[in-house]
Amino acid sequence: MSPSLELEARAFVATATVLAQFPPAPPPTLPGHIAAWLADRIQFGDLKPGDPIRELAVAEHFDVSRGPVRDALRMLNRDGLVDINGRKGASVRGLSEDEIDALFRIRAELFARLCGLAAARGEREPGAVAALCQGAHLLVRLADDPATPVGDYMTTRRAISALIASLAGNLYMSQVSAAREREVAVLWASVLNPERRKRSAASWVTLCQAVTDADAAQAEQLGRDLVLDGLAEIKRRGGR
Amino acid sequence: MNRTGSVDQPEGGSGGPAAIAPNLRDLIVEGRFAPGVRITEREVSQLFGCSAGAAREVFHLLEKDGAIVLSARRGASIIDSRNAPPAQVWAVWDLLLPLLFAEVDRKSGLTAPSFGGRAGQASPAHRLRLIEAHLDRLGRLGHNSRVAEILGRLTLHLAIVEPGALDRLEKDLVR
Repeated sequence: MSPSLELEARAFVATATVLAQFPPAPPPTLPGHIAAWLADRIQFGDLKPGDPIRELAVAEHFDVSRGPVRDALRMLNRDGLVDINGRKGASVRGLSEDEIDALFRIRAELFARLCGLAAARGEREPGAVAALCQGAHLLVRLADDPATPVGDYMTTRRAISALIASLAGNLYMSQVSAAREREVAVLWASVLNPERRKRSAASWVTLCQAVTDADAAQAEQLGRDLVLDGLAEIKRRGGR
Repeated sequence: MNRTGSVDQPEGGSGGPAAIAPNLRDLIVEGRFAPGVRITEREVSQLFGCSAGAAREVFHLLEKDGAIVLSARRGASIIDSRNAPPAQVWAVWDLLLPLLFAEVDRKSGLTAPSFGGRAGQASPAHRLRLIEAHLDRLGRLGHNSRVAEILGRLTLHLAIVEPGALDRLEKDLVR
């Protein structure tokens, strides 16, 4: 990945985070930081469904005691990413087909509504809308470069999502949506191959255009399709 | 109440956190602790005759349901309309409830629930439990437990932050 593209991605994510202020940053505590790191490992595919998460190894990685790691695992358990079994310890939660189906359909409705709301309210915040489109086009370039690490693609996509959520103006709804997205985090890496990334990025551009045009109905439909396309892809690949 | 189905480590027993949590939840819903106020481990220990450790565990359980928020600075506090702005929560409720009903065949014989009969006689905590039970039934009938679970959380939040929410929730469910 070219250094300048990487820098641009980082700059965009930083800008979007400031503009959006959502999702609320992970608690500035050690367990929160560890939990966010583990969630990334899961979402970026370094940890797969069923993989054990060894407290000691994580503690050593961060050079801390096991206490904060245990707290972090508890947070992830609460969010549905990690199972904690007394004897076997913690492991990455896998999802059944039914759960995946249910979660995606719920997400589709929530995200569709958020996109519609963003389109309807976009005129009030032209800065955020401009950033949104900048992000979508950046995503296309990231998708076109096969050397882009999945992590960079994901964080950029997340930042774009955060901007839409912020424009929508319903923080509670965004949190419910984000919680579902976190639950399916484990599925992403397996479906974000280069081909899929290109198609997905193109969809984001179309969506951002609808938001810019304040076309709420179109934005809703595109938002819904974006999520359901993801579901179709996961089913196609037989993801767990 | 542990709604997410993941494996926690409930301590069981009459004094254990898993037994205390629903009782504390009821007190919150009844208004014994107002939205936004802090609640300390000491208060919980005194109320329920449990250790500080158990109280901490109770807080974790209630945080999982979203009834309280935990912060490093403030400790535990009951949620309020900043955490769960009623208009925003209702928007999610209105959006997701149809998903639940869509799967349920109205002719399936699911009788309309009667929520505690005469208004004002059933306690808020009891009314909330009936609402949650009905959502649960709808979820199982329509194989849509996830939606039911999410909606259940919403009802808890609404019951805490908005007086009168229970009336509207009951009305929405008696379609």
